Amino acid sequence: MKTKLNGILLIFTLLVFQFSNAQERIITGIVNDVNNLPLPGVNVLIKGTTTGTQTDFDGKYSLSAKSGDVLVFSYVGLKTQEIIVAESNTINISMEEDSESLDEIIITAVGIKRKPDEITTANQVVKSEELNQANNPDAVQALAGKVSGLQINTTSAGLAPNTQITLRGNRSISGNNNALIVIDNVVSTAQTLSSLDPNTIESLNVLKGPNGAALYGEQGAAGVIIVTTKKGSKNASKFNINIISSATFEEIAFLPETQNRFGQGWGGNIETVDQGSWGVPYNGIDIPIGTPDANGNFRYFPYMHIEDNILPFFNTGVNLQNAISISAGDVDNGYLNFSYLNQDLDGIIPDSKLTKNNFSLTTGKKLGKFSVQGIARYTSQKTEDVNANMYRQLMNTPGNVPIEAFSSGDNNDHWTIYETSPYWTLRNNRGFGNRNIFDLSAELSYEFNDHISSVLRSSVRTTTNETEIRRNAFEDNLNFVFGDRSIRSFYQVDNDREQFIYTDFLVNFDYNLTEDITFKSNIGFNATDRKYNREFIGGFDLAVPGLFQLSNITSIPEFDESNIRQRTSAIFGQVDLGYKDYLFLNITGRNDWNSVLPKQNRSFFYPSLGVSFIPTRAFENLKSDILYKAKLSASYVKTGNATALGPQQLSTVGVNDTFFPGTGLVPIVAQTTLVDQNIKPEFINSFEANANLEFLNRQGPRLTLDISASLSKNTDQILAISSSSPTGFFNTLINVGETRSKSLEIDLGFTPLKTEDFEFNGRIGFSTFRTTVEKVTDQSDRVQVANLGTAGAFAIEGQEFPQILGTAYQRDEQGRVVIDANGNPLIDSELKILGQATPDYILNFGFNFRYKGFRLAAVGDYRTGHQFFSGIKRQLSGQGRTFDTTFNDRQPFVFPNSTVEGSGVTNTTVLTAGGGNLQPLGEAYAYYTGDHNNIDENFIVDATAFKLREVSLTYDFSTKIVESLNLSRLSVGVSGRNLLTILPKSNLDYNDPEFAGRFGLATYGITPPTRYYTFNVNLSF
Amino acid sequence: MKKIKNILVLILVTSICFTSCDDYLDVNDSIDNPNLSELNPNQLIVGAQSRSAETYTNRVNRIGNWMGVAWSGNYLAFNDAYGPESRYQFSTTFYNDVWDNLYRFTSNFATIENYEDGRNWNNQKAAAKILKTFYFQYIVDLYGDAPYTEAFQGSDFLFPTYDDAQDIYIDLINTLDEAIALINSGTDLEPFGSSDITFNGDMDKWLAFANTVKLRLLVRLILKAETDSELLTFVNSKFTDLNTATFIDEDVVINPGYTNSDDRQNPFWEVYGANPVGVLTNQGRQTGPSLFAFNLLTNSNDERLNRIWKTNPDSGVFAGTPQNGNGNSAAIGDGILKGPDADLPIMLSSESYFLQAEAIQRGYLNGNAQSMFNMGIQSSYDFLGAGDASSYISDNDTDIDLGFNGGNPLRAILTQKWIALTSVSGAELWIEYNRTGYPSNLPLPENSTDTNIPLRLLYPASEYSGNSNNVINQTRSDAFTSKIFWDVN
Repeated sequence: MKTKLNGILLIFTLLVFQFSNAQERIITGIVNDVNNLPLPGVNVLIKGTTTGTQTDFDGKYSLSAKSGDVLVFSYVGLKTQEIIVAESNTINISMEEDSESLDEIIITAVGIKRKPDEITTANQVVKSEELNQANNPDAVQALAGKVSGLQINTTSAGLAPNTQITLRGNRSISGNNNALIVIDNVVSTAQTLSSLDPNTIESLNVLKGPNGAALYGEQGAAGVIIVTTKKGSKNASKFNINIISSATFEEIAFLPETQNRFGQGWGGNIETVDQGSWGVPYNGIDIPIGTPDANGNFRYFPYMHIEDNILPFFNTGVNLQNAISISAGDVDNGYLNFSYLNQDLDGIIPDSKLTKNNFSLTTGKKLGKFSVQGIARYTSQKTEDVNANMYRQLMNTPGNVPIEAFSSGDNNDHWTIYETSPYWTLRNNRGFGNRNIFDLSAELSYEFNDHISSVLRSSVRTTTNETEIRRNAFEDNLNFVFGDRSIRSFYQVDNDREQFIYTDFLVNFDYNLTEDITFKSNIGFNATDRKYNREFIGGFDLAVPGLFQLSNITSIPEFDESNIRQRTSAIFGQVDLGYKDYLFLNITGRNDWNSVLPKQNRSFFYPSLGVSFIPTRAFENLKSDILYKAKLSASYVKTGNATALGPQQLSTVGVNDTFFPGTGLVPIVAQTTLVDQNIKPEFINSFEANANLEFLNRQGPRLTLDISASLSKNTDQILAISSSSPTGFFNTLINVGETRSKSLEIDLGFTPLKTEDFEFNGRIGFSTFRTTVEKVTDQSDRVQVANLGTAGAFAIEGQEFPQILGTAYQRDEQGRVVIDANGNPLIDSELKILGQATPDYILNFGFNFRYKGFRLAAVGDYRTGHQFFSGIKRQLSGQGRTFDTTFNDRQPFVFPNSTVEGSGVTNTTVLTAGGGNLQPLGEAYAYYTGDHNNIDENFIVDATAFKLREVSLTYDFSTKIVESLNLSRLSVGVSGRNLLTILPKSNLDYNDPEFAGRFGLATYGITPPTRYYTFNVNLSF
Repeated sequence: MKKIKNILVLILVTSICFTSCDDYLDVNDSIDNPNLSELNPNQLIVGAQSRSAETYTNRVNRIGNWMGVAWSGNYLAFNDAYGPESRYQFSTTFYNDVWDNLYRFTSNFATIENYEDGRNWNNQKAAAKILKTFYFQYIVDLYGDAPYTEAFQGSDFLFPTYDDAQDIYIDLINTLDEAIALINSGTDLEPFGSSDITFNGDMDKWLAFANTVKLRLLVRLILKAETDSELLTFVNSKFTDLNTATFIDEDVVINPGYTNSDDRQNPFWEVYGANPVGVLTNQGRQTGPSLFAFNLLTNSNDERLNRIWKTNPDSGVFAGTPQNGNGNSAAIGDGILKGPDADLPIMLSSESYFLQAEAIQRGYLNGNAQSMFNMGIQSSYDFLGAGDASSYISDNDTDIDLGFNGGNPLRAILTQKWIALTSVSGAELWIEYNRTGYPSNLPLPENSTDTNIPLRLLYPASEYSGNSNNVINQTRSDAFTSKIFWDVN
């Protein structure tokens, strides 16, 4: 059949040739893959034109071309081929796998370029197209779900939420667990990355293991994200312009669920000016609430529960962001990339605003053996917000109060006389911020010859913050007996600036020792210098109300300054040896000097050793259609750090209280924190093994499996422990014994469907991370590392870290709660283990569907097995708002599974919350605000959470439409973040467990947790 | 060749860096604050005196006034006024700052004691020893066994072990003897000058103060010593020294320059008085006399009633309330709240007289107990600005609680001391009640299900988190059953 067809074709083409000699003629052919199977859907294009076609189901194509034309055959996942049309009218080709990834060079630590196979630690590269597929206007948020093991945790809400980027969870008890951000080879911050127009990013290389530390020092121990921005443009001959516009809407995701049975009151009685919900049961009868209005009339509202009654306080947040980037030129001829980003945000708290402008300019040129590059970035950010935690204040609102009725802003017009009106606070207690970041860096490279090159880089980042607090006075003229709510006017100016200088110098060697053995080496030097200073001055009682000027202060102002200086230097070196294309060895060594450590411990050295091996390339017959590629790597890395120790913290100093004017006296006393004078850096020895397997290659692997396991031992962890006050100090920074950690990450990637029009791929990851305390100190087997009231996070010898401990019910051997003769539960004299703060495991997933120009992506995760202490639940309980406080209708009850002290039998008669002489609701109030509130165990909550973090839908307009508009790309998208959070029954939306941080202690954020919806347009021309 | 040259360049660059590296990294010295070890005793003793006194006058005073049933809450005006105190919510966080701050601030006296720079700071060191003893006595009186020999030594003893309370007492008495010896030995002394915000460098007054603190320690030991012959021998020998000693005859007050400005007010005024623009504090507004205290003074026509307490400016009420009761109460009076710039008393001369009276009455000191008793009352009147006490003394002379000739002089001495030290040295009210049982019939809070007035504070949360191997485990019931060592009742 085939031969016959070919024969007919030959005759046909000969005929055509007769007619079109040196003219256009029909070229036909068949495109096969390496296994000689026909490939449908291959693009065939005449270079430099828009003329082209696609192969049919049998891999065949035909198109008209003339001699000398260049046919470009391209297909996703395969290597693009170019064939010049010669005499023959038949061009059959066999397309190979895209080996570009093999030759691909990626930028690793300190700008060293490597091939992916040479990397002996877990890493992942995210390219521009992938990063921007959902047009997320924030480069940090855009990374979510694209890298396994990478977590972007928003740990607070508010105008500029605190975002933590962690790789493989928390590795250090006390030190830094955030991934280091490096932009264009210069150490930077997640904040700066967030300010970059994502379109200006060329690629991100995420080094997950601790190997980054070998070259970046202690800051790199928790992983490194190496960001490379675009240099010049793809089309060097013209200006390429890209515009991205987005609008994001923010709303409250959830508020704590509260009881709906009892309303405003105290001690079991209705008190219509109170913050507590200790009144009588709701009865729907109109009662006067709060203070009288401006006309002296009380306002009546039904005494009944209002669901989420504080919700009307908040607005829908709106965040408008526009960015334009312009690029031109290339490295040889000189290039220029400019971008401007503008953000205008109104937060969910009324009258809270943020305006941000970011300018970025990158330029460079290669001149013979020299090449230079310079980058200048400037960010200015202005904020205005209320200067108080409104969320905490609002949660003191009883459930029956319609807060919008008290929104006049007059502090005398309030539902309680015990606190300031949030509406007054909103208008009269304001914070202003003005931040400027200047970021300048330059790079000079010189190539001595083909084998030796050197590079010198330097950068200066200056951050200035100017903040002001402006508060108006309020005079309480209602003269309630209950306390004076007068507020004094206040004005404070607080300015700080930080300068961070980073310099490194690197010499690179690159030799082929034999035909099979390659040798690369780098030797480098690095120094950093950080200088920070802050001054503030503030005072009360402004002479002219509303004039916020320091000279208008009439009280003795409070003022102070603080200064911080830290310097580090390091030498480092590394050797890479490669054997053929399948065996690689990497050795590094680094010596750090850090000014924060005592002189005798200032210098510390740490090495690493890594091997990677590609068996499918070493043994050709291992490679099959099923197992397409396998890479095995293992590494041993030792890293040292002193991140838990701050600059100037080593000295034990005297701190002064306020001076006394006219006396010359300043009361100085010892500070409350002590640092061990022989404190040493913390060392982490870790061993990591990785397997990366690719299966079923059909235009790229259809199934990938990445397994990474690590064991690490931390010695001499630096911890601030709560110390015994008799030491003279409240906290002590010491080297704490030893911990061991193990982690396992399994990542399964799959692409069940992949055609030109339709693609579905997904990723499911499992990760678990465990730290066990082997030893605390010689004298103690337990230390507290963080606390919230009496609940705290502890490191306990032999136990997993961190453990949440707190006050608990005293129980007998049978587990019964011991109560006294009056029914009051006894508090155990020792703090009990109430939970663990680390999840048993985290499951995360990401899915991508693409149909033609449409792309739908979703990212989420599920974590479980851990607990947290909810400060919100505790506060709500004290105010009588939790469901727990309505147990048995607030009537005396037999404490479940209890025993009266000394009786030895299960209690069936002695009543709790009924032992005194008060009326029952009063007894309930006394019990819940007393014993119940003192037992931390009551406020431990299951931290399990399922979170749908991001869903996005994008549409890329087809080439035809785009070209007709004279554009090169046009896409629109809609996405939602934090869309769905599913919490277990014990967490009645008290806290987002992530806000509890790594120690499992959660309190109020600036606002309740929020969700976001974004609409965006991205166009290039 | 070229390669070698390049390597040489590199070595040169790195070696330049390393010769200067050490200097480069010498940037860790404290910039903003002086090193503690470089502060001389005059620089450190101002803060040590004022911050310790602040803890004493506020938290130690407050818990004592409450547990000694001198104070109560202004309940009708304030829901939950003094809630935890009213309900005896003893826990590891109940007044835990008393322990933490007494240790924190007295550690500065220990730093002064150990300061060496070749100069003679004996006077300052003596003052530091006296004040350390003064405050440390309250740690023992409120908690019993406590870290002492291993205390104040920073990272040398991160987990200090507990010493026996009585051993600490004995060492505190010996420390006072050391202080007295230091004062008596002095030549070439560094002048104290204005840094002495207690006695302005008058070492005779420091001597008298040392003797009075020693007297207080010894008086506390008497009843215990009468059950323990070894201790009795020690107590007797120390009393012998005191027979020739002088005691304070004027109030011991400190004043670093209090003025009506934020953070610079007299610390008692700051909490219970008013802010610099005259807004009364809520703490002050919720505080009033207990019904017991109010009645005791009212029924004896005590002129001090209108000086210790005054009509509540909010409600116009002049009355006491039972603890954990309800009703409006009077407010703290002008004899106590003398002003934002007033001196802060840490030991009244009346206490000195009552201590002498008790020691004489019990036969440990020579002298006339009744005249000391009378001087104690008069000096209390003087402190409060209540005028002449003689008619009050004679009118109540045969009252069993208030009069020396009422049949029980010790009961009268201790009850009068209780009145005199109200709101000033509140801790003495509570401690002395537990030691002696006077004043008689102190009532429990209303609705209380406990059977007696608490005997002590519980070890604080910081010990459970920071010193768990050494701390003595306690539950709430220990506050009612676990006696301080001198409590032999």
